[in-house]
Amino acid sequence: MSVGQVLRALVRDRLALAGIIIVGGFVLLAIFAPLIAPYDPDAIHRVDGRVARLLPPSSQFLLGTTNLGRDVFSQVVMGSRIALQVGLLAAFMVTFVGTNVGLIAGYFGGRIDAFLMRIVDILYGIPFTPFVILLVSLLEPSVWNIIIAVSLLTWRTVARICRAQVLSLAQRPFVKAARVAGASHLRIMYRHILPNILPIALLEMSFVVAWAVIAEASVSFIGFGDPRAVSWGKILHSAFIAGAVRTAPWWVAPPGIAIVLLVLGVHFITRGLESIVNPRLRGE
Amino acid sequence: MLRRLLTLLLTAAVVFAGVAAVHAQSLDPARRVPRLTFYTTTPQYDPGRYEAALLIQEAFRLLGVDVDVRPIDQPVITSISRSEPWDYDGFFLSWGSQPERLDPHHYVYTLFHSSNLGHLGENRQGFNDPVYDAIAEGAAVSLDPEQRRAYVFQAQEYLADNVVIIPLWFNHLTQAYNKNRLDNVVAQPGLGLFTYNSLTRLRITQGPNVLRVAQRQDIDHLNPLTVVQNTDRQILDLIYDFLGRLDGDEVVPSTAESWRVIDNLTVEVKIRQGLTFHDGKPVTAHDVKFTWDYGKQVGFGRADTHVQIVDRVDLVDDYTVVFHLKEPYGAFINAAFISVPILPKHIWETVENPTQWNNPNPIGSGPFSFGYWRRGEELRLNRFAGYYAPANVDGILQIVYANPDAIVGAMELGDVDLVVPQLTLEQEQLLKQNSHVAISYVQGSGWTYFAYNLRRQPFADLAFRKGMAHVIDTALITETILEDLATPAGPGQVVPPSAGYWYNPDVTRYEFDPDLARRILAEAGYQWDSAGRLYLPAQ
Amino acid sequence: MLAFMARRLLQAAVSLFVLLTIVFFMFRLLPANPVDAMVDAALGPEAIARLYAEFGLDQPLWQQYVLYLKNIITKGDFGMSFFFRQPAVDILADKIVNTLILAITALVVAYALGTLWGALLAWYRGSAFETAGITAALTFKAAPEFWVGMIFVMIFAYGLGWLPHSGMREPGYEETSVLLKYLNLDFLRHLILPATVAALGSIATPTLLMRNTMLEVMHEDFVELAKAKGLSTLRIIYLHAARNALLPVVTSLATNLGRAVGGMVLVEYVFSWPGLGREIVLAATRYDYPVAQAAFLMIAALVMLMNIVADLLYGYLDPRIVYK
Repeated sequence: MSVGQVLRALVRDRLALAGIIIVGGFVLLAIFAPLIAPYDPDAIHRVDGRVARLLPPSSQFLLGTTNLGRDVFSQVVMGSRIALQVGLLAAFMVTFVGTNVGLIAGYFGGRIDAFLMRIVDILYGIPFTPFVILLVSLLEPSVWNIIIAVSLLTWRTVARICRAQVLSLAQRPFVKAARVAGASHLRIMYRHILPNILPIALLEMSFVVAWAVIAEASVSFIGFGDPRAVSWGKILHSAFIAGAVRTAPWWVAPPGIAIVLLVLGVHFITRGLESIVNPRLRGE
Repeated sequence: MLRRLLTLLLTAAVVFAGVAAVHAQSLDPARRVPRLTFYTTTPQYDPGRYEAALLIQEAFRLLGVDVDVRPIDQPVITSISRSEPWDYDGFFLSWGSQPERLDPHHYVYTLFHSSNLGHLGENRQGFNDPVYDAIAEGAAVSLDPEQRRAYVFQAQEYLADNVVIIPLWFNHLTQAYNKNRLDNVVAQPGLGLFTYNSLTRLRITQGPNVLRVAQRQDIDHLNPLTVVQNTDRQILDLIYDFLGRLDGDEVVPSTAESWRVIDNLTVEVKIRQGLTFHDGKPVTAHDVKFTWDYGKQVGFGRADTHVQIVDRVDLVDDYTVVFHLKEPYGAFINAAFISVPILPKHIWETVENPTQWNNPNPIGSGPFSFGYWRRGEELRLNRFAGYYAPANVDGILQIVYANPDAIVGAMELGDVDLVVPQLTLEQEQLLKQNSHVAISYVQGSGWTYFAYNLRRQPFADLAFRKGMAHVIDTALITETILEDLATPAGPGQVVPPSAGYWYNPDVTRYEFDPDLARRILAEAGYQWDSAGRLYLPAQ
Repeated sequence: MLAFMARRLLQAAVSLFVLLTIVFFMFRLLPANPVDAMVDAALGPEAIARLYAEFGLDQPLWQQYVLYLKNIITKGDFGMSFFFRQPAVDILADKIVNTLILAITALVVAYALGTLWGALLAWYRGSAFETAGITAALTFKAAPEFWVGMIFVMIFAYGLGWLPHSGMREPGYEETSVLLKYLNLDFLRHLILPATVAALGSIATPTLLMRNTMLEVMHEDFVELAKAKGLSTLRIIYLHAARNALLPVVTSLATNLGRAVGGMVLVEYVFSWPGLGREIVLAATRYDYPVAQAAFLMIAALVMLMNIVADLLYGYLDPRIVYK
């Protein structure tokens, strides 16, 4: 099944369509964020000369302000950029590395396979959050380092799944035929096998998007996110640290809801993809 | 405040325009003030220092200087700021509230004397000035308070005149307690409520007679020889006793009954009779001598300087010792007596490898004895009836909460009687609304500061520092970040007001005045290019 | 079978060794060290030098590494914590128990409810009930655990006052026996909220997995046969179809259990649960190498062990698998 067919099938799925609309909405929000956000998310606002601390939502500050007089609405809008950046970039890197490793391991087998699978085993054993903290301390905290950490630890799953797929594909007649016809390894791998594992890679990719968004939020929430970036997790972190969870619901609810919505949208798409890749799951 | 901001913007605009017109000719690019790098903590570790760095970045823009603010792991700042090759322009750190910091030795001598200029020394900013050294030495060696105070005052003036460091604000200790249960709550200036004298005096008026205290971070271990964390030290201060104790503004005898300064190098101490350790063995001069001898031999963690300064301890009789110092040390009574815990000789002389030991069941002679410790959960201390001034409560239960929100919740629900960690502005506002909660406000003995590298340009130049001092508005910075939960400080104000006797209120203050700042720089030969960027004077 | 086990264990040992080496050197490459992490101490160069010597940090890196490996292999000694002055393993021992209790409770609840729910969803495939059920499961999966935790604490602890907001036991409890430490009502009350939050976070996996495998067995003959016999719906779902669909669910439980131990950090943080995750975060942030290294190793070992268990379970439950 080609990627185009997959997409067309996806739009026909109700939940998946809802997912596409939600995620598309967030993408638009992220693209036009600077136009939508009324203020600089880092600007400290003052009312009558005093810092506008913890103001409830009003027409001036749609979602109220933080303890340092920053506009929550602007922060949440700008936060969509970080979430999507992390989700999409991590997913792309993971899929790229994972698919290639899976392809190479499954196709060549033998020692190469054993070696690559050992690496995958080791990666499975590394606990995520402590590893991110370690990496962030090593390289300075930044959005990029979180993406790197997510990517380093997540390609293992994709690699494993792709490898299994390649192993079964390698026995198929069309691959054997190509080999007999004298096609090079590269050509067989990328022209003949890759298109067949792409749908499943796409599925894994959308798993990773969701996972990466949550991972960034979690890491930021416990205080190891990018200090300069306004991410949803970090907004929640600031509220939690300030001790304003109960006094300022306008500061705590919006970023949380944004995370849930975006990730839910991605999950809807993932589920749709899953039932296309594996038609028996459609349950018709 | 708003007006001040507006003036600030207007002046900036006017000055930029003027400067652009005057200096149309090109300036030597080599003289341009480079982009400066300031290290600060991440907002997650401490929002205050991070925000302060951003506000100061704005201030430097007024002078035409670009600043890179790099939020980074706190230990990394510590490492960069005190290690060779001191590769930074500025950094933001803070000194916490500790008993011996009510004595000026640390702030006046340790931080700025040229003997501490080396790798890992505490003169991190690289201040090397023979005139100041003489003042600091005067303050360091004198055991006569009057004389010493004169030097300490002079030191503060000198540091302010030379803009050697900019303390931004003096930290306050804002702590909450349950006023329905606690009575006779008196905070120790500079240290707050979780101190020896507050805890022994306070009374519980209703409910179980055990004080429940909320902490954010658990203790690590209770070996007085190796302890470095403040949370551990606070507990050790209750379990062990000291020759002297800080009470209000003065150091009063505790394990000591009295002391007598014989000369600059000799102090005689009489030990209080009838004291016992928690295991019933008497406290004698032998234990005091042992403590110093042993500490000198194996090292004494954060009290190390206070034991190493002693040349020998002579035993006169079972209750009298004479300390002979290696060199005069003005802080000997004010700092050493209150920070070296008296160790029971009979226990420690048999310990092998004492610095690798976690002292699981510490025996001291302080007002509270060790009960139990469940790591990550709670720690229990019991009242020691044999203390010369026993506590009113039966015990203290210190409970660890992993996050600040849980601490506030516990206080609101009445699960704890006292919150030890500093409250944020929001927590204070929230807790104030509870009828059973009272808040104790007291000035701490620490400050949060902006320090810069005097080893290189532009900070090596006094004119630049003076100009900078006129654009850094510590009052506005403090108000923005902490409202009234801290007192604004200023250039050179290194002795906290809570140190009372040693605090010099009459030092040079630098008004916020960007115009004046630019005049100072212009007079010193600084120039600006058409884009308003600052250039160092020729030569 | 034995040969298979031996080979897997050997592979795991090699993997652990590589992991340990990587973590060891990563920590040493950090731009600060444990002495720098001693906040606000103003120790001075001599005291700092003494600390370096005590911690063995004044030795060349390779010597530190060789000594570290030697102590592990000959004495099972993972080093002393720089801050606690206790063996790293002792520091972690009770924490791992606390985390395991939380993780196992959460996962068992999640898997028990998830399988039942998933089976129902499969049975009512294509209906609005299914869509709603799937949406609910996915929403739980999409909500970050720490955020749900914050909200639950607000509602159930502060708002309604039903459950404690943090900790593992009422402060000042009497410690009687090791077993009774965990088997009492007070502990259970403290466990409910964090376990529920963690369970909600992981309930989607078994639910969807169960639904998917159920759909696959649904078309098989024995289900049709049961239907023809006129057995009740519930009976068919849970006694006939579900039994055959459980295999992947059970193995996924095993692998997830291994991973959950390292993944409880956020729940532990929000609920002040004194667990392994918080301990690692603390150790990593203040460069307490021995503790952090031992913790990494422990978690990795557990994950690998559970993966082997999963493989064995797979073989046990499905006799068609032959180990080679």
